Amino acid sequence: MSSPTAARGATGLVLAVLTTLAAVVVGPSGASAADASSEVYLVQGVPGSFVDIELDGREIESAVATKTVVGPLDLPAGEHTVTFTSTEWSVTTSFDAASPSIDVVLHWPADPAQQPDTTVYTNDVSPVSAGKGRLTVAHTAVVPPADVRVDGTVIFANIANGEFVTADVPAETYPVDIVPTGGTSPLLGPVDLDVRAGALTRVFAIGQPTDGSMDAVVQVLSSSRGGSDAPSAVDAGSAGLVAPGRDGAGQATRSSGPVPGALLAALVVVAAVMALAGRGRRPARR
Amino acid sequence: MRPRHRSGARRPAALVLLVLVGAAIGTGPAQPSPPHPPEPAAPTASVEPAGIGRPARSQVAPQPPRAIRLPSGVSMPIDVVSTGQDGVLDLPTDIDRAGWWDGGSRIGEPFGAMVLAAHVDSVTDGIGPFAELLRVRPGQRIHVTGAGSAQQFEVAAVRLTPRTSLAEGASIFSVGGPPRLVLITCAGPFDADGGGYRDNLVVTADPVGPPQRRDE
Repeated sequence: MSSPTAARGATGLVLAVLTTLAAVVVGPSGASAADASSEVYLVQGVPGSFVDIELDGREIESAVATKTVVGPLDLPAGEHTVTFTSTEWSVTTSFDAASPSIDVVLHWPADPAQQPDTTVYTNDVSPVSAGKGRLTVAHTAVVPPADVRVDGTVIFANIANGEFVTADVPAETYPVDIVPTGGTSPLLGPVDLDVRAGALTRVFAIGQPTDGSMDAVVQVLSSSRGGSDAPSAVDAGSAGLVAPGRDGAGQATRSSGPVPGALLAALVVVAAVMALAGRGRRPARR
Repeated sequence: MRPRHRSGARRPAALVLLVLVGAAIGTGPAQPSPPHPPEPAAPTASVEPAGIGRPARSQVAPQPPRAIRLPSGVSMPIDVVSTGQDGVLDLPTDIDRAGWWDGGSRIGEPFGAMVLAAHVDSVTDGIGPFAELLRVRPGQRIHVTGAGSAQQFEVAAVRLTPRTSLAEGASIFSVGGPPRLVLITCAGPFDADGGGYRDNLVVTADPVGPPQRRDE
């Protein structure tokens, strides 16, 4: 895969991804009072089209360019209707705003069709551990099932149109490409993908390779922090029962069997006496 | 967590419908007529529900470990534990329970260390199951299970490190690097006058294949 167009495409993509990243980073939304609402993003994933968007019968945006993410729109939970209209087609679908955060994506199906599809993805902004970001890659392009590779190694396998894969990964920049499942010639990329700590990074692969319109929409949503920091110490013993010379368990030289019960009992007594005498350590540290 | 939809049948049907609707509307993409926006197509047609993004079949839902089986066959339940304000991992007091550090990896994550630790002994309860790690050898198998998945690991390295400088080997707790299991307990000479064990024993084990799904 070394044709000049591919190289140009990749460069364009890097730029595009960076631009999108800059544009779409969304801060943590204020704690929404009611649970019965949903933050809804509308993603324009059809290359080469400008679309007008109507939500529940009311026009909310016009001439929305490819890769634009509209929102968040704070919608009451329940059924809504969205219409995307270009000069060549008009797609009306209903969706259920059932989760706190969702993406409604306009994209072409896997096989050539007369009009795009709409697919709803739930945004998992549940806590992510320190040093990690959550990466989700969705297949919304006119290609057969695909693999996602980092540095040539498949990390997500066999994703079909409409499907996604997700994982919490160390926050860093990954050289990512998308190849047909089992293949090696990139349909998209390689591109440097920046996964930010404490955030959900969503990638939508869009377009089709046959007309060179493969591209990616990247959306970054803040999530809360989960887990605790790495410990500086692990204190995992308090009686000295396995110290060298005590039970022989010392190191790898020990050959068999548990400590004889009598010896163990004696050691426990000794340790208890020491503790009582105030010279020992506190029992069973936590 | 995220919805699991076992579709496959639904979408082709939806697609067929779309095609039929498209056919009913009549024409293929007639030459676009630039000057005017098009009439909305068939406004009275019934509204299709949007597709639901589904996880790929290869998707593994990561899960915290719940139990560990040591090479001897002894199993221990696992609690979720955090690092305290003092930087010390807050292990279960019970020597028969291990703690999983909640900042580390879960079963099924593609990167990073899954860190489990347990007391090697206590004054009240004697010697715990993790004491067998003092004589574990590379190549021995360790089995970790979660709510719906399980994974085998093979011991790759065993080393002693001074307890006061455990965290200096940064890779022990790293969220990066290949997926691996790290077991920690105490070992080495014991200072009864307050110092306790001098060392930590750190066992690193590599996955033997990907996690397997299991029914609870």
